Amino acid sequence: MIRPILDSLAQPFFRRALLEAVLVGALAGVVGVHVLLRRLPFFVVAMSHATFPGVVLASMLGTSLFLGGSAFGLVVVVLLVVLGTNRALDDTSLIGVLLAGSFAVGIVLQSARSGGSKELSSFLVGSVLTVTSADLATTAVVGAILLLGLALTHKELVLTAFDPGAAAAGGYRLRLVELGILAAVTVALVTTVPVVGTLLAVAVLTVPALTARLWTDDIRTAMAVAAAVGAGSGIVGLAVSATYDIAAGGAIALTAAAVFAVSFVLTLPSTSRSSKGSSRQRRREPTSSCPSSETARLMLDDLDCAPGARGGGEPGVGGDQCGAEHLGQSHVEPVPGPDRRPELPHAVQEVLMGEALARPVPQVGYGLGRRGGVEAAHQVVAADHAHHLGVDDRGGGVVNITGQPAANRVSPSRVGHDVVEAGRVDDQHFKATRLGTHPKR
Amino acid sequence: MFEVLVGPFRSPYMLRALVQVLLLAVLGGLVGVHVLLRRLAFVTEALQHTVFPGIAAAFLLGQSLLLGALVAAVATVGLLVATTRARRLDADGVLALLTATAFALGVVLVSRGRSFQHDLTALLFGRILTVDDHQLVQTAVLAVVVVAAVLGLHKELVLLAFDEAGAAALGYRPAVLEVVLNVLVALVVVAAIRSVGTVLVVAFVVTPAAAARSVTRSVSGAMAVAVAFSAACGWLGLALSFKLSVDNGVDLASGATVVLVMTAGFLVVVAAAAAVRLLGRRRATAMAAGAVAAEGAR
Repeated sequence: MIRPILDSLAQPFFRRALLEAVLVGALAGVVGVHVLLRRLPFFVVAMSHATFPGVVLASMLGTSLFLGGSAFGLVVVVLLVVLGTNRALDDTSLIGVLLAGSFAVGIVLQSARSGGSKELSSFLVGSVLTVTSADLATTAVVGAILLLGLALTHKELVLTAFDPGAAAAGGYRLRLVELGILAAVTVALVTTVPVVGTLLAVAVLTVPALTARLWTDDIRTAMAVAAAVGAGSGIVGLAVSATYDIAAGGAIALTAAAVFAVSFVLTLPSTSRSSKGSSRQRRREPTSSCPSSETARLMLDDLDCAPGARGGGEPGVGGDQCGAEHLGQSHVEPVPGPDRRPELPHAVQEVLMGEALARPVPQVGYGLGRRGGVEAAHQVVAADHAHHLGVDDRGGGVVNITGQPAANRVSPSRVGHDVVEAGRVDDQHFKATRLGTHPKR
Repeated sequence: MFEVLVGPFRSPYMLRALVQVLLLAVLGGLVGVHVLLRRLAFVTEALQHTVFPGIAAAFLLGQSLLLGALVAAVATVGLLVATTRARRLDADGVLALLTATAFALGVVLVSRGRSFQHDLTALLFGRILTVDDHQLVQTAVLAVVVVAAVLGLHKELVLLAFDEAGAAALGYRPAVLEVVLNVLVALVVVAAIRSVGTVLVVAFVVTPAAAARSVTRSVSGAMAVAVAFSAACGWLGLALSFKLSVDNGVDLASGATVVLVMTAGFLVVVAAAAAVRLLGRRRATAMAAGAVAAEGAR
């Protein structure tokens, strides 16, 4: 096992490949945490297909594959955002349609030119061993720019991911932020193409981040862990590929998956008991699991309660929104002034008339909203009781439809005068999540 | 024009491809509407990739590809049900993980074979023009099973999609129905995968249903429109790729052309629906304004 690796290390092309795999793994790990935060895995899968025609076109025209892939990817992103405003289409289906459509463009282009099957497979599954110094330089520069951008806008990105309503109220332009992060993910994806190919990019962009999420709840730590896992998988994957003569991209992806599997088993005992691990348990005891003073501690767990959460969706009525609450407290003014209030949309109507195919709203929600609206503490209790009555089996709609979820959003200290406005913030919240590409069920 | 649409299908291999596409249109259209209702597009996408290592393994071992695909699909559905029940992880993340891992496994398996590039492209993009009678029979059998299940369970599946809690309260088992639906999607993927390849199956399921959704709001109506849309696009796509390849010398991959026609059709339908809605609204406001004016005149 060791010997062939040492032999390979003597080769310059292998050293380049190793460096490229490490760079890409680290970059993809960091970006991957944002992908998970914003529930964009399906978007990544889609873009991994959608950048393919750009890469084919670029190779036909003889320009840089990186430029071609990025350009076509960005066109699809814009198409996605534009078509996403259409009420009749839900984001998941739209992504599915565009994914298949753009990949078909790539195949048709590829089939129209003669031959080139070898090149085709290197686009699809990568060919890290043929990486040139120019590729390396591109990766390093693009990676540095991306990481710098993500670091500078970290606070805003996290805020808009956790609580789009508060962010919108605070004056952030959500659609712009969304477009920016989608573009960043697309560019990161294209940089991984030389290593793992377009189809396996999703492996390096999600699996290390998922692994990190098993080990930690803190976003910055998760980024560090994900970068380490990504880079490590690159090294081990290349070694495995050199030893057993299998496709390098596949080996890297499988290594990352193996690390995830091992982490999953190792973290199984700790997460099933501790209060932070099992989201179900946290929901049962909302107050105890909410660390009220640790503002900086953002829980990745809080994602589970984001509106539009998949898998039947627990509502955010319980105590799960501590993270978002702290953000609201510390980073922005969560409540719009009276002068801004008329601009905010009325989500109650929006939601009710919005989608014929959306799930119906449980009647329990109405009563809940009217009763517990004004006093925050009561609201929590009421929501908590409702939870035990089984309201949580419904989608995230409960929060939005009641229009008065103030208690979960606004800190107890400011409840007195902010409740009504907070209700509106949340209305905005629901609408705002529609703009993104969050897959919903 | 008529000749362009009918002429290509005089040759037996094109006719077989057409029959296959029409069968897939029925399958994908019916199941696709449920996929849309339950927002399972990502599951479909994941399935088409997780089936890939099954096919690759069967291919290398010289077994029936259908068998390999079926085994892989059933294993995936099991994993999916297990992971969506355990809520520790974001379901989308797990799906992405499964997709990537299975695809990587498939690539590694194929890369152990002798003719990597050739096999890879064949498995990825499918060979709709080399469909044989045997495969057609297999697809037809799968189609009968799926259509019977979708029509037989129509009421239950729709109820589940709109009101899961209500379905449970009425005594249905949402978990069982969920598994049934996932299996149905898996069967469609298995049926389509050899002819359109492991990447484009999702188009046959998601695109027609999404197009139908922007035209009609009724579930049964959407199914009918989706099947019709898919069949029309399939026919047109095959004819187009034949015409361009044979008469104009531009080789176009048939499966991908069909998908491309579907996507173009989708965009046209969505634009048309939006235009009709806009016109309707404008006319309504114009009429309202007219009424107000008449009122004022009086």
